[in-house]
Amino acid sequence: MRMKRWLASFLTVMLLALPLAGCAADPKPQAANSPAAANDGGSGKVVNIDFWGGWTGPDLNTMEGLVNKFNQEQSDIHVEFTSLQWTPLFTKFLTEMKGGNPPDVLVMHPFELGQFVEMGVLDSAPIPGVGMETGNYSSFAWGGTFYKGEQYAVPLDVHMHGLYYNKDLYNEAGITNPPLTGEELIAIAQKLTIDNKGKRADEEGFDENNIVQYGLGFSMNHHVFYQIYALLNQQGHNPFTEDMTAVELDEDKMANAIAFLQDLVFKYKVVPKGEKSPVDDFMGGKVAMFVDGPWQMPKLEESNIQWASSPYPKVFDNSAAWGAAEILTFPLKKNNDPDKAKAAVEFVKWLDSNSGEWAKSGQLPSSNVGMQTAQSMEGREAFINSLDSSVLLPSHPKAAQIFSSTAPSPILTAAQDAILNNKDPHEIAKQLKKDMDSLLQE
Amino acid sequence: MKSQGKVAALFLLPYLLVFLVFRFGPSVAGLFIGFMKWNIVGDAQFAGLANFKKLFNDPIFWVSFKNTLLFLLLTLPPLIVFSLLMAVLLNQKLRFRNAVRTISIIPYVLIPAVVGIIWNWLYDNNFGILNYYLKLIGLGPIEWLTSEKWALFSIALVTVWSYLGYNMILYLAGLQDISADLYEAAKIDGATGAQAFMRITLPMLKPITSMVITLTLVNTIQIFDQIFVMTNGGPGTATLTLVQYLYGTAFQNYNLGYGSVLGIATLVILIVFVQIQSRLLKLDD
Repeated sequence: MRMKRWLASFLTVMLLALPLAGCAADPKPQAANSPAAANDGGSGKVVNIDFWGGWTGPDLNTMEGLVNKFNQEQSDIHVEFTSLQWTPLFTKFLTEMKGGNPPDVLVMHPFELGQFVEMGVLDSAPIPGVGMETGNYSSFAWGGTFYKGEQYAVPLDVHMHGLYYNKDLYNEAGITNPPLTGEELIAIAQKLTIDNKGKRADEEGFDENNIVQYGLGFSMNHHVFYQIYALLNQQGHNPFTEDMTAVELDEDKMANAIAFLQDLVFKYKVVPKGEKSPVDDFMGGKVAMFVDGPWQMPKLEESNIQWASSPYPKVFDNSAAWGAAEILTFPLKKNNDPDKAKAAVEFVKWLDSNSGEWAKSGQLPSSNVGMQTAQSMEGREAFINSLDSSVLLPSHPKAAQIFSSTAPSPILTAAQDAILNNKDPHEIAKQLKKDMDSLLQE
Repeated sequence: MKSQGKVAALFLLPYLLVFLVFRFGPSVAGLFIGFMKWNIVGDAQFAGLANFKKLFNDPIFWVSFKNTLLFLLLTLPPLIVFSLLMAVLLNQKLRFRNAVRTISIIPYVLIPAVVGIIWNWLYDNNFGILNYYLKLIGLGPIEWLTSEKWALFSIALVTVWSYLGYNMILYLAGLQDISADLYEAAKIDGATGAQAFMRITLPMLKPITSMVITLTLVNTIQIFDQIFVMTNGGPGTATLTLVQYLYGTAFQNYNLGYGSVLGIATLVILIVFVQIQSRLLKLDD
C-alpha cells in the first residue's frame, strides 16, 4: 500500500514535471530563406549550408537581410539562417554536434572560443581559405579570433561601452561637451540630476528622495562588472588571462574601481539605484546619459531623442573601455563534405567583404572597409575612437562559468554587491577572487 | 467492459507514447547521467557518486533549495486560500460574474515572458507605478527586484497573480459539482453559512484541493521563466531556485552530470511534497 502511494506520487510528478534531462528553454528558432524561394535558375547543384547566430534584437533583421542578399546574388550556395538566444543556441549546437550535424558556420564571442576549442568542436583548417590579412582588420578584432596562438575564427564585428547623451538636456543645462574624465562625469551628471522642484544635484536644497531626472544610467547586471573590468585596465591592471589557474587580483585597484561606481549611485545620487533598462529610461527622458554598447543605436535612431555618443570616460590613468566582438567559426564536421566546406568559406568571405551593411545593426564591422562605412553613420565615431583602448575578456576554457551573466556567477555577485548592496569594495574583491579561484580549480 | 478498456487505452496511447519518449525516457536517462561526467559533446565518463557527493557539499545548491522552499511558502498558501475564496464568491449569483471570471483567468494565459516584462515595469525602483503610488502615501520606495530582501517576495507576488485565476477555475468547477440538496438539507437543519462551508464545501472539495495543491507544488517548485525574465536568479543568489540552478549548470556550463543530479534532487523534493499533501488530506479515506 505504502509502495503504491509512493509510486502514485512518482508518476504524478513525472506526468506534470519537466523531464530531468531536458528542461532547457528552447525558444522557437528564427529560420529564414527557403531554398525554393532563393534559388531559381542556378547552375544546377545547390549546396545548402547552415549558418547559426544568437541575434534576437533589431540586428537579427539586418543579418536576415544580408543572408537573403547573398542567397539572391548567386545560385550555387543556399544559406539556411537560424538565430536564437545565445545560451540555447550553444546547447543546440553541442547537441547537434553530438548528433553529427552541426551548422557549417557558427557565430560566437571571443571569450567563448577557448571553451569550444578545448571541447574539440571547432575547426581551424578552413581559416586560411578565407584569405584574411592582418592589416585589414582592427587589432582588437583580430586578437579575438585566436586561442593559444592559433586562429579559429573570422572577425565579424566589435562592440564596446560608450556614453550616450541627450543633446537637448545638455543644452538646457548649459553643457557643451561630454565628459572625458571621472571628475567631469560626476560634475556633468550632477548638473543633469534634477529633483521635483527643479533643483540640481549640485545645488543647495536638492531633494534626493524626489528625483525626476537622473544624470546617468547604466545596467545593474553583469555590465557593472564590465565597467569594473574597464576601470581595472584604466589603472593598468588586467588580472584575467586565457591560461590563468588562479586570479592574480590587485584588490586595492579593484576596490578603487568599485568605489568609483558606488559613489555615482550612493554618494552623488546621480544614477538611479537598481536601474533595469537605461536605454528606455534615456528615451523616456528620465536619464540624461547612459553607458551602453553600440547595439542600442538602431533603437535610438528610431526615437525622437536628439542624442550623441562619446567614449567611455577616462577615470584613472589610462583610457580603457570594456569591449567584445562577434566572430565567425567553422564547427568541426566528422563527415566532411568538401562542397559544404567550400561553400561555408565562400559565404564567410562574402560576409566579410559585405560587412559594411552589418554596420546598420549598430555593431561595428571588424574589417577596415566595413569600419569606414560605420564611420559615416551617426553616433558610431565615438565607439570607433575607443577601439584601440577597448579590452576583451580572455577566452579561458572556463570563461562561460567565470564570466557568466546569470546567477550564480562570480561577476554578477560582485556587480550586484557593489551597486545594489553597497558592500565594502575590498570584501567584494576578496569574494570575487575566492569564487573565481574555486571555479578555476574545479 | 473489456472493449471499453481497449478503447480507453487507444485514446491514451498517443499521449503515453509522447510521455514515454519525451518525458519518462529522458528522466530515466537523467538518472544514469547523474553518475557521469559529461559535457554533451565528448564521451560520458563514469564518475561514480561524485556528483551526488558534490550536491551535499555545494553551498549554492542549499541556497537554491532554501530559496525554492521559501518561494513555495510564499506562493502555496495564498494560491490555495485566495483561489478558493474567489471561487466561492464567483459561484454566487452576482452581476458581471462571467466578466470577472474571464478577467481572472487572463494573467494565467499570458506567457510568462510577457508577465515578466510587464511586472519589470511595474516594479521599477525609480519610475515604476507601484513605487509612485507608495510615495504618494508616504511609503517606499521599495526595491522590489533589486534588493535581496524583496526580490523573491516580488516574484512570488507575480506568481500568485498569474496562477490565482487558474486555481479559481478548478475550484469553481468543483463547487458546481456539489449538489444544492446538501446545502438545502443543512439549511433545514439550521446550519449557518460558515458551518455549511466548513462541513460541506471544504470536505466535498478535498479531491480538487488535492489536485490544486499538487499542480501548485509542481509549478512553484519548478519556477523558472518568470525568474529568468525578471531577475535571472539575482540579485546575488537571492532568487536562484533549483531549476534556475539546474539550467545554468547543465545548459550554460555544460555539466550534464551534476545538472542531472540537481534534476533528481528536484524530483525527490517534489515527490516528498506530493506525498506529504496526500497524507495530510488523507485522500484514501
